[in-house]
Amino acid sequence: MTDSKRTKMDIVTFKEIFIPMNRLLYGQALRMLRDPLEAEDMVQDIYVSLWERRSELSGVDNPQAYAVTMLKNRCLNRLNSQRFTEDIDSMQLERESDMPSHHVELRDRVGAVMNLIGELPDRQRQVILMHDVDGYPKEEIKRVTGLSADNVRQLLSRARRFIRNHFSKD
Amino acid sequence: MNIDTISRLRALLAAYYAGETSESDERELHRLLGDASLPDEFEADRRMISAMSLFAPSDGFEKRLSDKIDQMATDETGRRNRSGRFNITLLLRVAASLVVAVGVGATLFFHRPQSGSDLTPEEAYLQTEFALAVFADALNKGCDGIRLAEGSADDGVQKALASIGIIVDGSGIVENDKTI
Repeated sequence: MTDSKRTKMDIVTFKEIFIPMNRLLYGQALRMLRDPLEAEDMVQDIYVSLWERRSELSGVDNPQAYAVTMLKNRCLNRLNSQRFTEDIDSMQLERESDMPSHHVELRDRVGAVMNLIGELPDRQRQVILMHDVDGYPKEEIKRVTGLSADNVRQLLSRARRFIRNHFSKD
Repeated sequence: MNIDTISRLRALLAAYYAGETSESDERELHRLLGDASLPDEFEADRRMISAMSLFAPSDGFEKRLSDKIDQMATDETGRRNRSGRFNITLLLRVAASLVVAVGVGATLFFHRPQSGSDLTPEEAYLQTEFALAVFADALNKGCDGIRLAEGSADDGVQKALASIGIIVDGSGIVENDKTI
């Protein structure tokens, strides 16, 4: 970040830069929190924080990296505070019993898919996380990983078939 | 669900598992898999793709974020305007207070009573003590004068009464040996 000039980013620029990355931020939050509702809440909180800090943002070279780092730190804090409070099993059970059953079911389904993704070979895992979780287009995945378009498609295909075959057994 | 729809669903599923679907294909896939008359043979696909769809934010999420930003911007503008008005009011109040304070100060400064002497507290104490002593002395002299005058008056009255034959003692007035 440069300290030269700290002017507040205007709303149009802010939206142009940050709104398109909402899918990525949501995917990152979901990966860490494994709860769709908490992930959306977390992303909204991040947008509020980004808006409040927009005088700093004008000097940020990579706003996406800045936002993702902020989100990951926030998620880690959330997870650490949850671990602290959930050391006692009864507290965990109490928390889940307070949730609507639909919310618990969503969490379970996300957790089941994430566990299956975790069993995939590295390349398949990388490609499916980038495409289906973070929402990157295949062209971007090609550019970042250095894989060919056909490789990206094949890795994605294998990963999806693996999840389909194992998820249906649950 | 008719045969054409089922054929379309099969084609979309094949493309999905081949990693060849576009975003619009996947939206159509979700719509077809959400159909109430979906045959049981697609149940495993429905469950899996429904779970995968949780990895995208819910419908309207982007719009909600955009609205939230608009609201924050509006609130901020409102706060700034309110704070501007407050500052002007505050400045006016401070200015008015200064004018009053300066006015009172000037009045007191230019119309203060002239002091007659520049005595120190010790000198003032001595002078006060002296004045009180003079006053006490004068008061004592006055009292002595009164007592002297009373004595003279008593003697005069006694002499006058004696001359007309009346004697005054402690029990009353006696005229020619008869008590009146």
